[in-house]
Amino acid sequence: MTFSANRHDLPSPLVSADQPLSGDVMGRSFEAIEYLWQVTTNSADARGTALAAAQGHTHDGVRDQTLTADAQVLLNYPSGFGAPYLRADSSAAPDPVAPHYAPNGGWADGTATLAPIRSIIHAPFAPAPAGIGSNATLRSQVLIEKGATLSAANAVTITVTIDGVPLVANSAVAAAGLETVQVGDWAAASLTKGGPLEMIVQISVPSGDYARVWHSLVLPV
Amino acid sequence: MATVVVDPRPEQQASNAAPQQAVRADAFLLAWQTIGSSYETLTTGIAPGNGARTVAQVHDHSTGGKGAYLAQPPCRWQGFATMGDQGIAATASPFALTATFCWASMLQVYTDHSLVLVLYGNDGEANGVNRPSLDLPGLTLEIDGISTPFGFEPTQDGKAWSIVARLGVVPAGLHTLALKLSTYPPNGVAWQIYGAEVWSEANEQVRLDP
Repeated sequence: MTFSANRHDLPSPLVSADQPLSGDVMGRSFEAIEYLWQVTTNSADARGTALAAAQGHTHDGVRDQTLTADAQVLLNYPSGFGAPYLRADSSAAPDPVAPHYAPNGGWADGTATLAPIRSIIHAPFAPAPAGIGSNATLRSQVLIEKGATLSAANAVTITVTIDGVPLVANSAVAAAGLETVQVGDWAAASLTKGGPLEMIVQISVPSGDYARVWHSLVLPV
Repeated sequence: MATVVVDPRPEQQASNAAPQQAVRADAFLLAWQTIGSSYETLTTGIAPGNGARTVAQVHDHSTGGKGAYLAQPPCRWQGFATMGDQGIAATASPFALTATFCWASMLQVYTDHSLVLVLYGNDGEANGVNRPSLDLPGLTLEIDGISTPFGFEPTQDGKAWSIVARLGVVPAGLHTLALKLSTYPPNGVAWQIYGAEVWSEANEQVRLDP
């Protein structure tokens, strides 16, 4: 947290007390009070950056500086998830034709690009002084499983499309097993808005490689 | 803003605030009222340096969805992962791998946090072991590839099961979770996993038996 030059001292009843508070209570109380003060005076945005121009507190849902409303921006909480339908064990050959219900579906095998996840995510709103309703910087993580050692470390291509804006990333390790692939960032205000947006996760591999998607999440950066 | 000037000191004495004791909401209310008081004392109408303050529109927090939204859990998986199929037990890993990931997910932690995983599903309808069990020697729950203890909690539905695992203090960053089966019993396994979530172990969001 930063302090505004316009900010006044806390009122005297809170500064002195008859008995000292425990460090635990004192620390957390002061942090909360400091935050409340900044919200009251609108002297700092949700990230604690002092604002050149004071912002209003409008309760409009996009700059509603409560601890819950801004928790994703403040704390990097995930703000959206996606999960596929998978037959986890099938040893049959991959079937890209009907990946969502075929017992051996879900594996990309080089014959088609699969879209195992379609989900709605909540793009956090950018803190002031960005435009009202614009999205904060957003990042996606995709968990893949490789069924065999890849022909190249970067053989798996993951495309994540949020609000119609696709970004691409590749795997980094050839060994079989789980790997997280980071996709993004989508820059602040690069999407049409913050709030509920569609996310599509696609996977493709070269012929002879096998990989599938287990999970995806997005988080503010 | 109509505020009440309240001296918060009687409720905030050290004798009433033991270490690890949660800060009471009414203590913050008192703090807020005190700040509100100073706000009005120090300024006329608007806060200092805040001439551009816009006045809130009339609004109703009880309707519509534009107000505050709650933070998500650090992990939520709501897919559908089956071991085996109806009438067909699973007996082999895909591509002759040495193990099968029955389920896998990611966990994004913003700061060191004591967390609990809940993983739930249904019994399968094929022969073989039709739900995860501690009796399955090859079944492990992994965080970042390292096996971690887990247990089962009773459910109201006899066909449903739930795995609960205290993950302990998880450092900030991105982690992976997985339920892994490395050895299949001779008659195979059959079950479905419907979902998984991770929540803070603090604040009584999840209560477990000791």
